Amino acid sequence: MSSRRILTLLGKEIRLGATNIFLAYAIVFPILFSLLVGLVFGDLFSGKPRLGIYAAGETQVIQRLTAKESLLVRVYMSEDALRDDVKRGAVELGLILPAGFDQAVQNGEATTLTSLRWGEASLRDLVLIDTTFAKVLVDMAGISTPVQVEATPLGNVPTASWSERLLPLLVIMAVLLGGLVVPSTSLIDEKQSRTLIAVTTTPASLLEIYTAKVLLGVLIGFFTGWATLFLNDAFAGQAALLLGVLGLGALASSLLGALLGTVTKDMDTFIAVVKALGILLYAPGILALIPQVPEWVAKIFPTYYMVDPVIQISQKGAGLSELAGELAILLAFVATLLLALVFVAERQKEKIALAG
Amino acid sequence: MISTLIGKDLRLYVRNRLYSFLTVLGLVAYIAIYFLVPASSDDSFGLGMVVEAPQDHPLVQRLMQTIEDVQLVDSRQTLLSLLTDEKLFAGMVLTAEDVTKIEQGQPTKLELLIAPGAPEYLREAMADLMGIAMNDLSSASGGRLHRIEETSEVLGPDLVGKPLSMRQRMVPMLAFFVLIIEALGMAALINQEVVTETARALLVTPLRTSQFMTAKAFMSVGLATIQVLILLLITGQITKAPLQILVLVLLGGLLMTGVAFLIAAIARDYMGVFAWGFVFIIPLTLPTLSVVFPGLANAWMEWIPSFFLVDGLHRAVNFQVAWSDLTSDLLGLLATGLVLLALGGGLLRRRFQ
Repeated sequence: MSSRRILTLLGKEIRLGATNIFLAYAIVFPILFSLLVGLVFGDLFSGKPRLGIYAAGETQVIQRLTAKESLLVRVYMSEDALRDDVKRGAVELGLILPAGFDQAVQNGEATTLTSLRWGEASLRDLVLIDTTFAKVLVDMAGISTPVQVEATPLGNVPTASWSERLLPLLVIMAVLLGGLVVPSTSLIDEKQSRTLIAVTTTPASLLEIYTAKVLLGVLIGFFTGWATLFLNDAFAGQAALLLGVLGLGALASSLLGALLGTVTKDMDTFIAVVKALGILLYAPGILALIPQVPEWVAKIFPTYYMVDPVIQISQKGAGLSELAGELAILLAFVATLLLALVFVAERQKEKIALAG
Repeated sequence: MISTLIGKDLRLYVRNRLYSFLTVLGLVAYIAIYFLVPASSDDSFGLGMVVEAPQDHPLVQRLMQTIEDVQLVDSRQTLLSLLTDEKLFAGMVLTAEDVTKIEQGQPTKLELLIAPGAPEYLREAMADLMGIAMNDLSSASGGRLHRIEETSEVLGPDLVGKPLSMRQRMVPMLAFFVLIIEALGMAALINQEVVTETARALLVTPLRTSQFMTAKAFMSVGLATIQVLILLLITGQITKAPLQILVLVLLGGLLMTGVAFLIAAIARDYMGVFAWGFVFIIPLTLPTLSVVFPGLANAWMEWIPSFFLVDGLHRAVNFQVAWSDLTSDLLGLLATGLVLLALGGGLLRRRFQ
């Protein structure tokens, strides 16, 4: 195997790939998705109770409520807009405050308040909204509160925010899209246009061709994985270890891509494979979004071992010793894929020899 | 002619064992996801309390009535271990002295212990909750607030106390994914026939373009509908409103066939099908996410055609509504399905010529 020839082939792959929509897609999509999640979804996944408020006049209530960390508060300019959002569940409770509400509360005068409740709202959220609102009114009215309650956290275990829960899915998508799709589609394309046979008539061997394709997948998977971590402000922990694990994950997905590209005879079958396997590959990321699902479920899927070490290093500062078990499984996965790829590539070689 | 073409496509589909196997595998994966997601929704506060005063003390009795969802714990030690094990979110120890002070309206400082893994927003919310409850017990401090007359209105089906589980919220999304992925597969198949010129070859026979497309539409709607119905049957959803679900899924299949035609017509090749597929999938997925995470719901999402499908399925499966409640969803699905089918069909026809 000549490293010079592999580099030449890799250069060819990159040149040809530049006009391949998949390559652009594999790089652009995870990055776009990261930005989309951050910008559009923001803290909507936070799990906080959602309150909508419309005030007919000036009120301090809005300012005081929006300052609360415990609620997501949306302010509306019309009653109808608030009603529509309560109806669709965008907010769980809508409050309509009449003009002069603050004055009435401060002077202890009679006043009215309309609350619109979304029928599907959780009881817990409704009670939390109610008490937070009551607390705001008590503070605003200057009512004395002889009992003071102070929250004391026991220990300092960091809790996963929604953006942290989304990170595994983003990393899986990035590493898999980049690492898997490019080598597989490139191989299928070459098989369909019969250029694979043509290249093997040159001094380049099939193994070298495969190595170049896998390398391209690794480079793209690695880059998109790094970009996703960077864009999500999650590139932290031991940099060398993180990059190494990311590279190993990219290698696993690239080998899987090359394997799929070899065993699937055409793009139709490949799409069917992606259709069926997609959900299984992304499963650990999807399951991470649902905290009620026990962690062992995600551990069934091999891609868990690609993404969890990345999350452990970047989010929890884990070191090599803590990740030894997971990395051993990932290495075993890589070795299995490598053996399987060598096996199918050998059979491919025989087929090409017969065709020649 | 049409049935012959459908028969041919079906034979090819079944003969491709890998394709058939993977389709079944995909369906099994969706069903597995449904059963893996929790079947119930936890609506409790996870609040524990150690009351070191007599349980029949009037203030303690009132406290239990005010905060119904509180778990009484026998000792501080047990409370701490329940919190450390994250079986409770928050806990408080109320001594006999605290109870006396609260009763007399004296300044009292209470400590609310928060479990290490409790979300940060809950710390403030639970402290507010307990603060309001305790002060309410203490005196008529909230008396001034009682002069606020509240009018309450419930919008939509009232499920308070029996919230929908995440699993039930996911049903429309799973059905949608089966349909959209099948549409992507159909787009790839049609595109292949266009690219390899087999469609053109077929059209030099007495087969007309409209018949070719009708056959593909039937095949696409049929395959997608059967898969969704199997999913809903195994997950036990179909029995809830069989006819409504069937009509919604058939119309959903029509909509997705329109999408498949459009993708097949626009895409230059396989790669294009995949790339354009995602261009369609991403916006179409947003309304499905808004059913699972209602905080995402927005007025503009109701203009996305898939909204009619997931909203209709959500209402039919989870609330067993009347047909009249589904009118807007059914009409919306039918109209957008026909428009997309006409648009995609028109563009495909141009590619054949």
